[in-house]
Amino acid sequence: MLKLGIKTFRAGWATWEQFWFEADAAVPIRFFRRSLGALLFIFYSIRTLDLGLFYSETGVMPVEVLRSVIDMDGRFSILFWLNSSASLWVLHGVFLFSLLALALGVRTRFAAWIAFLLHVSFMNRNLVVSYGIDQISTFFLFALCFSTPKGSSIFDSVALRLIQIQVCIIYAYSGVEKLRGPSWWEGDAVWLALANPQVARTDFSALAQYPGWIALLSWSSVLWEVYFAALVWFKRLRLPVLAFGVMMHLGIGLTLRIPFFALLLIVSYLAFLSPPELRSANNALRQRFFRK
Amino acid sequence: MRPKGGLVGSGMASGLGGAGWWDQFIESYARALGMTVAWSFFAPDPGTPKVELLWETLDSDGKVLAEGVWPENPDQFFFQDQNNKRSQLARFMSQSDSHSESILLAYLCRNEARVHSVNLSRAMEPVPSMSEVQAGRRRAWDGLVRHKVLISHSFCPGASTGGS
Repeated sequence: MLKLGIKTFRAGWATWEQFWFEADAAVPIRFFRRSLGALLFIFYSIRTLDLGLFYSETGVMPVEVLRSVIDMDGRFSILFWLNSSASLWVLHGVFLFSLLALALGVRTRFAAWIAFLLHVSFMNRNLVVSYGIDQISTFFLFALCFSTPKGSSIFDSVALRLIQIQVCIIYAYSGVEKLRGPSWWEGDAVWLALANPQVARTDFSALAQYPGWIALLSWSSVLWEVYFAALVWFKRLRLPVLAFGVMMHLGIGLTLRIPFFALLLIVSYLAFLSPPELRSANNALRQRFFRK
Repeated sequence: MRPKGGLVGSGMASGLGGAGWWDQFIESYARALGMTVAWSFFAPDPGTPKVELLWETLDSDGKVLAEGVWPENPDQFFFQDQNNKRSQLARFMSQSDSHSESILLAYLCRNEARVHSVNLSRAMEPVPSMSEVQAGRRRAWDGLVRHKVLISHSFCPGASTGGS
């Protein structure tokens, strides 16, 4: 009995070690880092247009006002101290530069730390205007701080697992939260998003004539989110599960006003693909667009 | 009154509050790194109504200087990030009148020296149900049902209230 217990414990421990420290992370982590860097570089370049309005002392949210409306205890931002207009522009420039470095694969560990610290600084400087993509990026950039340029150390294995588990947590939490909402049970949740002028891209009134399809989309989204964390680890189910996610997020990105949020989650799926899958996808893309 | 636990992640922050040094350590760590997040996208329901804040600035004689709507939604066909941030701020300000005054009123007063007082209102447009649209009584973006509430007529900080 004792022998069996020790044997089981050893097997469990070996699996645990293999899972966290021996994942074949080199290729996925490099693909993920480059894609994330490029996506965030484009996304945060748009912030340049509203830098003064949302992050400066002359904009809508001076630090004093921020502290009066949100509990900021323990929240850190370099912009609380360096709050001149010049500092704001310099820090924004450095942030964009660090994202570009991640995209190009230059000094990646250093760039990830700079990107993470400045990202948190900008987010905390005006927490009110941050939304999904900002929040998820925090975790991804944090994980990348531990990855190495080649992506072949145990730190990269841990970083890859952290990213994968984070994606699972996001879907599981979000899916279970949806189960508390009557509209998801009744099947008209997707309609409520598509009919909201502050969320949808255009007037989708015509879709009200297809309630069956709306209900199918609502229910399948919740089911998929709730079970993602369990199903994505099965080899045979991984690709279909990810394919459903790509379709769903493409739909969200095209119909709702959150294209970057949708793309960020699609990029996160790179962490779930095996090195041969990533290489063949990369070759196919190169042949398609660069004819190499 | 400041919301304890912050804007995002009130779930985690409030769930950990004051239950021992370990919880406090984790909470401080998560707050410092911007990781107190509740992952409830479009949940429990996605039907947050469209919210706008309508404002009107007045000079010391009570004459209207300017009027506008927040969010003003800059024209962005595809990316929409500018609009999303503005909508996010509008939703936050609509949570309480004091938020609207602390943020928008103060901003309007700071922005233009001649502004003496500001009228603030909140307008909400509930999303029409599918059955209403199927019956042809409504369209998704018709704006037919609009609940408008006056938030305040407030003087700018430092403005003299004697003459108006």
